[in-house]
Amino acid sequence: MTPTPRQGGHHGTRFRPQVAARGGGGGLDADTLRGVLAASRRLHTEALRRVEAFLTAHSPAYVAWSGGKDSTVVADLATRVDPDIVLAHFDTGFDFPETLDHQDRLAAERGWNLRRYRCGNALEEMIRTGAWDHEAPDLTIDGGDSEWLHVTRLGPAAMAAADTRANGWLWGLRASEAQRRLALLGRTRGVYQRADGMWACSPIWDWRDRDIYAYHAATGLPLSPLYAKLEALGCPRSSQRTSLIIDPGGLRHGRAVWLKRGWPDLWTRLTAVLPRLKEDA
Amino acid sequence: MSATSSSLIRHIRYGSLPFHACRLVEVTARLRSGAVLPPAGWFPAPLDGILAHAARRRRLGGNYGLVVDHHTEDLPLTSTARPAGEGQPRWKKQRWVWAATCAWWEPTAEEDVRWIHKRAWSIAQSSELGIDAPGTPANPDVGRYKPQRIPQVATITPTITWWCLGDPDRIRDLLGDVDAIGKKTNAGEGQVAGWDVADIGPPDWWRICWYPDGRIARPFPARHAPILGLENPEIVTVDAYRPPYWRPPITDTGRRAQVQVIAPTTTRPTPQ
Repeated sequence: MTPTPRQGGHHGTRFRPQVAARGGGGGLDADTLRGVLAASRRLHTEALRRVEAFLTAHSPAYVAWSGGKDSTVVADLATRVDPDIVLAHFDTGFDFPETLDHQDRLAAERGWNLRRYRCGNALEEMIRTGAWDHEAPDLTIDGGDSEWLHVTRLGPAAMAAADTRANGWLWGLRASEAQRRLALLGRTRGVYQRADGMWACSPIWDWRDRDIYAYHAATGLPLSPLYAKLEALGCPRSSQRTSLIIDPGGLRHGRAVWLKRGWPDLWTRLTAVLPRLKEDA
Repeated sequence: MSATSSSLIRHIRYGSLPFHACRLVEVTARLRSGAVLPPAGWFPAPLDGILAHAARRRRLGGNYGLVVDHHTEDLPLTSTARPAGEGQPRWKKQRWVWAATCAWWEPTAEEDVRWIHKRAWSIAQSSELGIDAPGTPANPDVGRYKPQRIPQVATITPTITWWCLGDPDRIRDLLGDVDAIGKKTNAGEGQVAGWDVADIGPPDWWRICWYPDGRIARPFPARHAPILGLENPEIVTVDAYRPPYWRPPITDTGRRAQVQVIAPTTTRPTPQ
């Protein structure tokens, strides 16, 4: 049998570089290596093109920047196209302190136009509206009329839109994160108009986790220190979340365990008012 | 109230051994498996908590977990409520603690993340599959029957060590009832192969206050800081500083309240 080039044959076996994982101590860094591959560079160029096309069609727009790894990539891409674009942080009053510090530092270093919008306290609303209730179904991002969603997402988004007179926003939603996101973003290719008339665009909608880390490594864009802290606690990359300190839906995925391990004093204060937290850690 | 009756009440209430009747005791648990214990930043597995659990279980027998009992267990340990000898700290009487450390293990111990999954069949799924499951919840999307994937971080170490001031024979006897420590013992974590209880010398409070690496070895209420030679130490809030550790103690007003203790990251002050 004549082997095909795909299987090796006359050209020898395929090259499979063995690289050390990030933080493995010495050796090659898999994220840096992936970031310099031609395939990654093409991905970055394509994402920049999407941002340019969106801003051309729907300017003015702002970037919804939570400080996590995905939205930070979008913030970097957007500021390359428009250095003055507003990076809007939806301040829920329930972010990790590390997140706010990271955003302030990054914005100061790079001259980014960071603005914070706040219309309530997520923890208070979570308790008041029953989202915390043990019998409540998990909230989804398109839950619409929930008051808790109003405080955490919809309210600040409306404030940012009014402040910047925006027609739309850029954000870091990705299809690989959940089935519902795949259904939405796959159908719309990352750009769609909401019922309220606003346009939303995720230029990285089809990126995978490893593409995000590769972008950070290749461009020198720092990750939030929360990721290093969670990794040191033993939290795998797939479970690392940096948005709200807790949310009702994240408990079933073990977020309370990492909170307890990494932030003991905060945990103790929270469990004083939310005793059921202990059931999830 | 006379001084005699007052001290009698204190003795009954505290139930600790006199300092001079104690020995410095090293307790070692030999483990069959990893143990799910709190990480740095917490006070892991206090020995007095393990002993109090064993004592209560022995006293209540089959009623353990079924009755409400606010009685403080008598433990074969001394406490800060008992006057110590010359060269020993002169503890304040209020907010007393037992003379026992939290767990200590080699800092080189590895950690391993184990995942606990919970899923429940819904009645609809059960009928579709022809499964007769009368105990299935009506709706597994809400409430306690939500599917879960919860991590548990196990510390992989062959032994865990504690130090305490007490009666080694009675401590050995109580620990004989304890066959597992930490969380998730029903899942096979924290299984103890055996206990080694060694009398290593005369009682010395300073060996109880600090780990060998200089970190504070147990939760001490903030008011004890000057006695430990600490000026303005970092303070953290915890549920309790003596057993039962899993819930805040009842205050004079009848309510449960969390308490402030010296932070677990505090290290021994260097002599001036």
